Amino acid sequence: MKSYRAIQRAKRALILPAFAVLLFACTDTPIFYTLEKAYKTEDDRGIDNEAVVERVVFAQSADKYYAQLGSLYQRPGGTAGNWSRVSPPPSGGLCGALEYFEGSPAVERVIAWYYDTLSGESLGLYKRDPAAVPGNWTQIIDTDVSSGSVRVNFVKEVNNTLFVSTSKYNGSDYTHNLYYSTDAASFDACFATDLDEMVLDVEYDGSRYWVITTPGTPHPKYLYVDGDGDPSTLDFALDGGAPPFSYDSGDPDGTLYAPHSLYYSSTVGNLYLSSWQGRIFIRSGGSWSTWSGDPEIEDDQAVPFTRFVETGDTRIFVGSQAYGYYSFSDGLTAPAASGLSRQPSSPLYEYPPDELYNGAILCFLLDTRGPGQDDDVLFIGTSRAGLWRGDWDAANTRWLWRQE
Amino acid sequence: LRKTPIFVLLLAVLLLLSYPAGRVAAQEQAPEQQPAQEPFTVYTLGQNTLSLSVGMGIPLFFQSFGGGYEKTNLKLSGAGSVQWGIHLNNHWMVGLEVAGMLSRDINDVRFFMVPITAKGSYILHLFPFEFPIFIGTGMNIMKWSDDLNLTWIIKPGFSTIWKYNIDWGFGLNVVYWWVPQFWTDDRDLGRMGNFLELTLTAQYNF
Repeated sequence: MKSYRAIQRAKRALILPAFAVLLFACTDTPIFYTLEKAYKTEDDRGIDNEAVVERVVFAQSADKYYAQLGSLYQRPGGTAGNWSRVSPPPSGGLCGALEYFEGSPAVERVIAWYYDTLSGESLGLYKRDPAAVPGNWTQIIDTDVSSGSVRVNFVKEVNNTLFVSTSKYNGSDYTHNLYYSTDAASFDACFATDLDEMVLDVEYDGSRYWVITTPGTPHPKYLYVDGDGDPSTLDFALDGGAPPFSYDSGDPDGTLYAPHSLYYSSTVGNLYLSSWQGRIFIRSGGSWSTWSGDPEIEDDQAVPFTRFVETGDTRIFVGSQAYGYYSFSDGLTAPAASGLSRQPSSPLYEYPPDELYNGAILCFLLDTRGPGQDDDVLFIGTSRAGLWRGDWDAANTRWLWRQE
Repeated sequence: LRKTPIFVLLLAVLLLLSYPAGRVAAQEQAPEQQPAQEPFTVYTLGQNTLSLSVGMGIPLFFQSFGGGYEKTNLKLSGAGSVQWGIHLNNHWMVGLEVAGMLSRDINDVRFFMVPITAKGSYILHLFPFEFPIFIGTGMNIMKWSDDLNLTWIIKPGFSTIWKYNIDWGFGLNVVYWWVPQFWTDDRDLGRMGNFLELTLTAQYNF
């Protein structure tokens, strides 16, 4: 009898805590509602679901998209069509940088840098006409940007000027520079002498060009500005009003730790600078600022912000490493951390694709194809989660994401 | 000579089948001593039944509390259960059941439900078949992706059991799973889940 009572007591002692644990483990997502809202996220257009997609560009002259994921892929513009691989100029080459140069006076507007798969050595900078079928590559003959000793970090068109960030190996070390061109044929250096720091991004704010680099030592040099905005006489100098820098990643006094990208919103006239310690810095009214509170935090870690894109609904998206992307109003001049909301999908129970929600965002591309936002196509390239296409769902005012 | 092994095999099968039939027939003879019009007694107070069921679950639809119907976006499921019951008399049985339904949504994200229910059954006898009609209710642990919910569940259903012998029975369960998920934070997000379980069952009486 005693043992029977002991068993009953033990049962009660186990069942109640187990039930309590269950109750506390419950999440605030109504599963049935979430399932009801589910849609098929895999669209299977020919891009590997675990691909690293570093850049996507829209070749407007041929209505084609190009995607850089080691190999170069292309597909027709819009929501239809499948991706197909573009043959590299030298066989065995991998694409390391990509841009569509709208300002090019020639038809060869797709610019790509290739490197050798095995040695990593540069195979040169090439261009091609996106409308030509099958199309041929033409090597750009300029040894500053297209030779075996020059690695290209990025190619970017800004204000009808093509910029190429390069790193050269001099036998013992790398030196870096930024080159520009208005015809994708001949290039000039933005810096009279090569830098010790790699150029990360370049942007135009309507009157002047801005450049960010990896932080230099012993004192921080990372933000440069061009004097007069004339691309024929680029003359970059350190910006005296740059946000204060710190080598401490712990965000002491809201100082910048590691810059990543620049973006200028012509809609509101702000220049944005993303950083890796959970902050966005904004240049508005001639000076830089950021919010005074804590940086954006996820899982007790500062969110490393990456690239920007401005969508058609007065929102700016900024990508992150490992936490998807964040959205904030383009009218925000000094965003509070609370002004940023983690995406995709709000509220979260409306079936966010986990791969994107927890993804590392490498690039955005917004293709405004028609007069309304319904016509827009927004791409997100991720690290190891493939390429995602967003179609605007006007009824629910959200982007519906599908994996290409 | 070639036909001999087949003959022996057939004889062996017939002998094997006659054994349980004989045991049930022995039961059938017992009612002679029971009052007229009473069905013979298979179960008495205190007898136990253990059932193991395996089959499939069919996600039917979600219904909002406002009345709208939507598809579940779930694929065909696997389903199963373990049930223990104790007989009160020849017709009534009460018991406990732990079941499971495992599925994937249209994006292959895993979804499962584990209801733990108390169950009451009324058993109709038509030798050599039994037709339990039952209803169960209890809690339902539900998981999809990284999310976990706890809900209430009601499971009405019926079975068709063929009594192989006095100890063993085999048959089919048809069970409706009605899973209301009330959502107090926002009532518009509440849904009633509707599923159908079709499982093969083996039951052992002791």
